[in-house]
Amino acid sequence: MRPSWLLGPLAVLAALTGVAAAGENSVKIGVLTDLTSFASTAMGPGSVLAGQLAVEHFGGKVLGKPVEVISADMQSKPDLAVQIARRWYEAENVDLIVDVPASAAAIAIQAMATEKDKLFMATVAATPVLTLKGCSPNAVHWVNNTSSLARSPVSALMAEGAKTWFLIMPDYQIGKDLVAEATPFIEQLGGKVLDVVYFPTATGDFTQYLLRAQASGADVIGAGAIGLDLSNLIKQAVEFNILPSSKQRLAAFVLNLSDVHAVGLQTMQGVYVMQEYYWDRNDLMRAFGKAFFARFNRMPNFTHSSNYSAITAYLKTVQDIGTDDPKKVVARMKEVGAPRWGEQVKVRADGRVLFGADLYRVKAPSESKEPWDYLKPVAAIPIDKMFPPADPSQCPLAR
Amino acid sequence: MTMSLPVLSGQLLVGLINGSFYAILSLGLSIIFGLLGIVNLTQGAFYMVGAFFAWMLLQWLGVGYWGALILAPLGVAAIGVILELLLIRRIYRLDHSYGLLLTFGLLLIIQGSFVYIFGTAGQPYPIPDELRGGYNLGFMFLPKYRVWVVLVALGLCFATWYSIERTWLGRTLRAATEKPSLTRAFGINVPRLVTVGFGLGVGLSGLAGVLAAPIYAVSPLMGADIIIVVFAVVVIGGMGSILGSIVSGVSLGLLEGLTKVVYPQASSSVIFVMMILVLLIKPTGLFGWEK
Repeated sequence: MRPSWLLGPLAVLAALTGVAAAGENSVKIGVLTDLTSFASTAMGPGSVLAGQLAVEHFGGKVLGKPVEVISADMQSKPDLAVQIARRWYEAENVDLIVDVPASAAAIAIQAMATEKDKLFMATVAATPVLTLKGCSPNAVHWVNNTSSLARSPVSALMAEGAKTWFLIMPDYQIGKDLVAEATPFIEQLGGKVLDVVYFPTATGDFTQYLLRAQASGADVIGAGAIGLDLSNLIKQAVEFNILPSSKQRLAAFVLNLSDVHAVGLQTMQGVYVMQEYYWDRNDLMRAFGKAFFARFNRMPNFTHSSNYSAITAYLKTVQDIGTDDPKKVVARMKEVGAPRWGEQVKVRADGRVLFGADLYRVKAPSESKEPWDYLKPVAAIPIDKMFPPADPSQCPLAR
Repeated sequence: MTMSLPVLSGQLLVGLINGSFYAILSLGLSIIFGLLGIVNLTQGAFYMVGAFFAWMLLQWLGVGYWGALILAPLGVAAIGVILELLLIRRIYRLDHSYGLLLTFGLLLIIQGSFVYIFGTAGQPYPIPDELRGGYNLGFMFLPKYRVWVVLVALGLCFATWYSIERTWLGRTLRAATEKPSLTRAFGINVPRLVTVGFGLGVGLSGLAGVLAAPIYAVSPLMGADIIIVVFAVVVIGGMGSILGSIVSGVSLGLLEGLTKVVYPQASSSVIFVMMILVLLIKPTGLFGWEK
């Protein structure tokens, strides 16, 4: 073992130089994501790259100071994420944290940002708590939330005539949230939820639930499964002749483009899904998609795009108001909105960023003209069908 | 919740199919524990590697399902044999917990490297053309591929049970592990025999991986998800009992299927509840025995 007397002074020195290097002379953005665990394909290194691209495309500097992007691996562990965030905000002068693919961690980090007067933009976590009880003057919720995930496919498919739903949901918070949000919405639009099945994570075999869904005769099988669970569910629906079918449709509430890529169009064709970003939707989205692809050899997921657009909006706002003071940045966004894919979108008093999205159908292999040509837009989803109104009884900022 | 009889029978049939999967997976574990006394946690990783070998053979070399069914388990067995010769061999004489730790470490390394290389999204693997489609039973659609899996599983279970319990090789293997020095006195190369036994058990997992590839997403995490359940199956059947693995694999698949009908939320825990009950009443498992 090395002599321990050496460590103390070294640590102090490191801390001092660290502070001096960062301090007020740079703007530091932390991408806190899952680089190695189960969410590492959905987010992971692509999330970090998206952050770097946003800074590069902005010119690498804001208010004459260099912008630095750092990253860390939270391994999909909320406790670890909170620990890293604390170190970043306290010791490493990080101004803004993005990504954070775990709702529990996002809620905790948003509270920490308020307490330490830093900035947090939830670009992956979908819990509505961030703009309800947990709402903060130091944060905006940039990505979709569970409400919009549940409402958007429901409104779009019911507009096309689907009435009855059979829901297959994971037996944890997001599954419960999706059901709580979707059920009244379906009923309000004159439809009916025939049955709900909650399955434990890592179920592997979904055929029994699928057979029940088939027997129920529901117009839509709504699947809240995520990642591998969803891949398995869809693979087995095809195996058991439930998909592709003319009678029943399958809607996935949470689907990343990387899942479609992995499972393949042969199996995925005909699945309906809402996406707020798809690389081939418009020129700006295409430009980012191509730049991302050039470095990563994959097209971005909506989560990657969310980091890119959030950081771009942040830098633009800082530039406009001439300060990176977090409360002023958020206040400015709430006042004049924020740039997002060429539009100036509204930011509500509770921190909710308001945008529309599209319902897509996964293409059949014959419709796909080039690599990553996977989704076909079928209906636009307006803002009021995405997000329920702010709730002043839960978020004081909305009063 | 109401459910017609036809739908219920469909549910039970699917439960049986899953049960036969559990049976093959627990066989490999059982052989290795019964013969070598190693609690082999890498078994789940080898199941995953088997599925990935099938995928690599198809993607990189154009070798289809039928070729993979033979080559992938051989490849997996080869890796198993190398690990046995280099590492696992050294801990036979130590307490069980050392084997547990070593194989757990290996599991993490294998799984971690696959996550690093392939990411966590599942890779696609098609059902072979000969086994596409299925039979309409009136109350449900039964895919041909599932029937095939059940037939292979039953065949493998019988062949394994027969070769361990009824043939010269099985007898010698059992003798070599119970009384190594005496067996050696008969002029039999005991270490080599043990290596063969380990390769056989591991190869079975690889084969299960190939069988699983067209049904489940081929992902580095697929082994970790299933191995825990399979362990419970082996414990219920009796550690080391071949017959116990087969019987408890099939019946637990059925039990799990029933739970999915009645109360899906409990479907992943029902097997463990059963394990606790069995351990309370008969700690050696249903078909196990005291050493």
